[in-house]
Amino acid sequence: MNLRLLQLADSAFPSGAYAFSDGLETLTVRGEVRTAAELKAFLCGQLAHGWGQQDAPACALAWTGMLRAAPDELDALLDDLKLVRGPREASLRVGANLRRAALSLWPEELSTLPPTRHHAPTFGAVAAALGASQADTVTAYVSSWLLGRVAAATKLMKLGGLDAQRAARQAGDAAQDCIQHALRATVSDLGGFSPLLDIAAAEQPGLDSRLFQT
Amino acid sequence: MIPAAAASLGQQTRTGALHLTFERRAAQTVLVGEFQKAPLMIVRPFALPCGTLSVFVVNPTGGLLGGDHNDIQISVGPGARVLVLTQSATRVQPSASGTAATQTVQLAVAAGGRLEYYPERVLPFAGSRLVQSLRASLEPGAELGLTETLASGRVLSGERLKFAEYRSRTEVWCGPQRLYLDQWRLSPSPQTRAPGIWGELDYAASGVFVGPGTIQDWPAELGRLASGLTASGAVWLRAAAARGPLLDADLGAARQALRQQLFGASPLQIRR
Repeated sequence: MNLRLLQLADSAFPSGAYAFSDGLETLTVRGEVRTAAELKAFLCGQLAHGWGQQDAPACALAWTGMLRAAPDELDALLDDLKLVRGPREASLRVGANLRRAALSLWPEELSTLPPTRHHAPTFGAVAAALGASQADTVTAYVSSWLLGRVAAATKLMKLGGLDAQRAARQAGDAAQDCIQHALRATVSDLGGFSPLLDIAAAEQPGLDSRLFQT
Repeated sequence: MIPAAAASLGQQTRTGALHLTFERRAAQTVLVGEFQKAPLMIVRPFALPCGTLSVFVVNPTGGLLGGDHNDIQISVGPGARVLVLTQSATRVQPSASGTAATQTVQLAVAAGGRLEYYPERVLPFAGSRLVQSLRASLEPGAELGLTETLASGRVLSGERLKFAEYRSRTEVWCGPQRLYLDQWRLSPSPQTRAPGIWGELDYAASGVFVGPGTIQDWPAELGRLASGLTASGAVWLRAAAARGPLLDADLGAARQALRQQLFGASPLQIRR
């Protein structure tokens, strides 16, 4: 796999993605995600019906550049499809941070990088410009999301690192399905169904105390 | 083996059409144009105490079968106030071929007009597919209220998450600007019961409201209903519940709160 892609997807890359839980914090505070089994179910649910039906395809489509989806069209779609302000603004902030850091590290390779705003299209466009394949790009993006969520879970739940990683491993089949779906997706496929996470994400600013940003 | 005649009958599909045009005349909202093609029809419009003209859409058949298509177009002129409801849930039944039932809804609201469209819930039967799209085109100064409700199936019969596919795209435009886009796509799987998706609940709703007022008191019910602003300034709504009446109560209260704050409207008093 492309070394630069691994660097881009690493949790230490200064995108700030670690600062957001995208609603998981509310679900843990409310007691709906308390155990490793519930964490695995949450991850599989998001890959099958939520995040995996929207952000992963947006990343895959951005990789193709103008061939299948213009980046500004993808950004406009994500502006609207991300109804809840917190996740919408988190996606924009992480996208801007990722873009800034990548341009700083690889100015020549990214000299013709198209304008992007949200995290998913930015990741896809940057990875393509760095020479990563589309399948590797989406795999790295999905892996980054998955591991980011289990890292958040260890802060939010009484859950050891190994148990959290086991939950991620058990979500492997759902992640593979998500990747395959993303690689086949068209712009009109972006959507999903996660009403309870939408409600949870909207409630996060009202939590009495928070570990993650809204 | 299915006899040829019966198989042919089973493959017959219907296209229902309902085109309605409302205008304001002599300080009242009136239905000035209509085209009804079975199985879609309306019962006689009647004015609510607040002056809004209410229309019930009726489908006297057993519902939408795979391959059926509904075409609904509603136009509301300047100053007119219209509420469109359905008399009963939309029952979506499968077809032998697995074809999806489809429905397109096109709404147009002129400046100063108001359209509210609150259909009863969609009940997708086992094996059914529904693909629907709703597009609302608003002139600046138009007011709009929309809600959409989905059940996991014939819950009271114990049939849950047995449908094949539900796709619903809703978009609201004001001139060239998209104010709202939502696209529910659900093919049930074991993951549908995950926390954050539908959990153990069986009813879900979404909605969008556009109006000149500002929201001070956002409708919210902990873990059941939330609302907020889209990136382009429309008001979105999400709700979920274990039972239909609970969802209806939450949704009804949220609608009234949003109508009052966005439209300056008094509560709807609907006679069924």
